[in-house]
Amino acid sequence: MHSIPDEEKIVQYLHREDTHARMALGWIVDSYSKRLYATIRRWTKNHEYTNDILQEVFFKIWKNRLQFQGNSHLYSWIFRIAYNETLQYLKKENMHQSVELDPALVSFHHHAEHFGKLSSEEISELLQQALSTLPEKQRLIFEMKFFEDLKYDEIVAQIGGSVGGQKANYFHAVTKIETFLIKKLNQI
Amino acid sequence: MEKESKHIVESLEVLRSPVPDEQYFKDLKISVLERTLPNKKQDAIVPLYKRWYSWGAAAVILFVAGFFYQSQNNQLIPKNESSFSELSTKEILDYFDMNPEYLDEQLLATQLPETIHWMDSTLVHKSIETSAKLSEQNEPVNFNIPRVDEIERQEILEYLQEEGYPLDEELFID
Repeated sequence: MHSIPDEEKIVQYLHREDTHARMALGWIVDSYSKRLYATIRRWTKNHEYTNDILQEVFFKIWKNRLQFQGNSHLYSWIFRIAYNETLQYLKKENMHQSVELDPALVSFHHHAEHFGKLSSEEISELLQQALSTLPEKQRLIFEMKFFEDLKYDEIVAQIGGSVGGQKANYFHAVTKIETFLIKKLNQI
Repeated sequence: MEKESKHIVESLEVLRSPVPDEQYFKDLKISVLERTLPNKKQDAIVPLYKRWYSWGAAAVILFVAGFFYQSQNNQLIPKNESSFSELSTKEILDYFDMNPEYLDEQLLATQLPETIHWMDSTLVHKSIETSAKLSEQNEPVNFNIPRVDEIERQEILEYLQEEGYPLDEELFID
């Protein structure tokens, strides 16, 4: 199996003629397709939607490859594309949703204070709502830390910044989510 | 309460979403790279509700339903229905000449624009004209009945009674 080069080389190839650019796209698919699939599926809760969106995301990467100048890390750019494509797709499908949805994203631990008060589906829905209120960078860090369980240095390697900076980013994201959830829980 | 509430996120456990097998991702890569080939039609992802087979199936169902409905409607039209308007006056009269027992005054009254008044020659001629209008051929009618004014009233009444025709007041109007 061929090893995947570093991000700098991938971006270089992406800006070359079609043959090399296509190789770069292949590397991107190899590197990120599983993560993107899991992320998009968390948002859509459905395989068919996820498949459609994922294909469209990679096609958008291909179409806009020359516009990516490396001002941000590659995964940050890809994540933004994935997020926007998902929003657009879900809007179009909204009136025609008749497909089977995945079960809940999260549930309370057994020892948690709110265990038993809300079902997994309910708390998952509230968490999704809370996430949708976050700015893109905070949402990205939360997804990577909370759902993907990445270490801070791994996160920094993929989206840049510093370990301290990303810790602060994650702390702010969590605080906003908690504030949102407390408000919703008190209304129940 | 506030202190505990700050750890809501920490009290959550992530439930893993299902992920397809390796083959899916291999096929995905092939599909993605194929789409980047030159002169390859760049199809947009079509949302479910825009896919042709959904609407095609609906159209076929509607067409078949409409077809059966139409053929049902056609069958409802009685083919054996006939009316005097399809026959010429001569044909009608010849028929009753041969089959006087079938002469149904009520049927005639409903089928012909005017009831034939045998007592009044003027009305008889008028009804002939009216009946003739019903026939496209508009054939001249050879009316073989005697003129009414040549027959005495009493003879007419006796005839009608013998034949069993109901006598109504109109028959007595001059």
